[in-house]
Amino acid sequence: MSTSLRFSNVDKTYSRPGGAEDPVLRDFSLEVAPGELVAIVGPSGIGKSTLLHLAAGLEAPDRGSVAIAGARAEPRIGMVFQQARLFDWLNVADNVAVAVNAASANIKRARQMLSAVGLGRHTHSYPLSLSGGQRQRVALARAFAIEPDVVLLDEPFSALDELTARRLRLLLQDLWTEHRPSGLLVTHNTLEAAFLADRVVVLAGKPARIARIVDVHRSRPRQAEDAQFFELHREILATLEHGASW
Amino acid sequence: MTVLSERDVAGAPRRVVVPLRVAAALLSRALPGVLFCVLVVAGWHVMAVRWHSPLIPDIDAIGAAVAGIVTSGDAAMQIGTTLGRIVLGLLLAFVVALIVGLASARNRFARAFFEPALLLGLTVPGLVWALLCVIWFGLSLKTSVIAIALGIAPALAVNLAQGLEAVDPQLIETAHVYRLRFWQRLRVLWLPAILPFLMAGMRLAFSLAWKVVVLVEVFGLSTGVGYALNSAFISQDVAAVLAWTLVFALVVAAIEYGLFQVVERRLTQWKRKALV
Repeated sequence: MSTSLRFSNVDKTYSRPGGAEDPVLRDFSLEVAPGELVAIVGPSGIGKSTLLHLAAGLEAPDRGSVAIAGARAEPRIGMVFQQARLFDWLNVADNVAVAVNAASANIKRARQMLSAVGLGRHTHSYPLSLSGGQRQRVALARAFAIEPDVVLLDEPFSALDELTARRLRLLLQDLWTEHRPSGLLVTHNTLEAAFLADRVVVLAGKPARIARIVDVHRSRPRQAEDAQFFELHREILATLEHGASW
Repeated sequence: MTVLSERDVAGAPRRVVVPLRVAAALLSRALPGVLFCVLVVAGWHVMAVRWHSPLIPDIDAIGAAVAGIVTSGDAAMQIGTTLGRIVLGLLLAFVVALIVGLASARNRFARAFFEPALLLGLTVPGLVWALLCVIWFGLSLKTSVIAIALGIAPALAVNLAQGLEAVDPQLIETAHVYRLRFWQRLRVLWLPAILPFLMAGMRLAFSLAWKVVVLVEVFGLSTGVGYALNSAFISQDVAAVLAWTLVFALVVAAIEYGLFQVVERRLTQWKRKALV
């Protein structure tokens, strides 16, 4: 895929109850190159999820632009949220198929992706009968089954136990290596950001600005035990702590 | 008949039929209701024998009246007429409720605008709508249809609005991100989410509708269960009044158990499958 995601001079301000203005982003610019996964880290409420909402078209910027430039006239966006956000009344296969149909992608992809995420035997199960990890696998399958140009990940593993989260990070890495969409990963877990991303963007201040961009020079597949990720994790944390004092 | 599934020694699923257990379960479920009915019939019989009054006909007389209206085909014709009016009234009410409920759920101004009408509609008794419609529209089909619609549309609209407001905004976002088309959103998001409210609203509407239509038929129509009840009342035929009430109540119960509950079970079977 040769799709890039670009934020150009974006302003975003929310109106709080009582009329107070809360500027979240001002003159924010960032480009995600084709096939690149950029992680966004920063304190709570700084505007990380706002970036994802802008990229997904759920919100519009007050100023500036968010553009997805690629081969398709209407880019396909896959999104994985903190909660799986599945339709409880549809079985696993239908949850994926409905997104695939909406994207006019090949319906065979739904089953293939479910097998790829290890849920080939659960296609007729309903989300309520699955564990949190399995539901998140379905959400990943849905995001990648549409053959996405862009994948947006909003703290996708933060609600899971560490062992499950670790497995799903490896699964995400495999899916990314195979499909190579462009993407944004919002996370509070700096080690996760270092392990998964090609670049880690550290946000600080109010309105948010880029405090630092950390490049991760490691090809995939990566090993979670690689010492470099722990090194980067410490660097990112130090930047965050420094940013908190601004 | 319930079929339980268990695994045999080799681990393959094996189906085991247990009709006795099913029969016992059905019996224990039906027993309290059956007991209540038996006690009511027995109590009525004791009263009828004790007072021996034409105002309290005995069980045999009521049974004969029931058999009379059923075998003559009168019950089928009059109840069919009444149910036809109810269906038309429900359809009209549903269209109105859909418009009002949708607008109220999606727009704050519309909600405030319709609020007095809904409040008024919920508090005005069906009797008032029945009287007004007979006065306004005279002896015609539209009298009963409009009276039913006026009587039940507010309750239906409130239920629909509550259902629409209860749809998970996170799922709406998800549908937006994945660019689900209008019909897909309707099929996989809106309808399943509002279904419990819709079913509750339809049940409430149905129970209100038949009370309103019977009143309209009593006051101004020459067919239907209400008309038959009124005829029996005028001739002071208590057995016939009870017979019509019994037969109509049985039909209403059959619709509740044979239609509403079956449809609801069918539409919510995913819950049972999910919890297995």
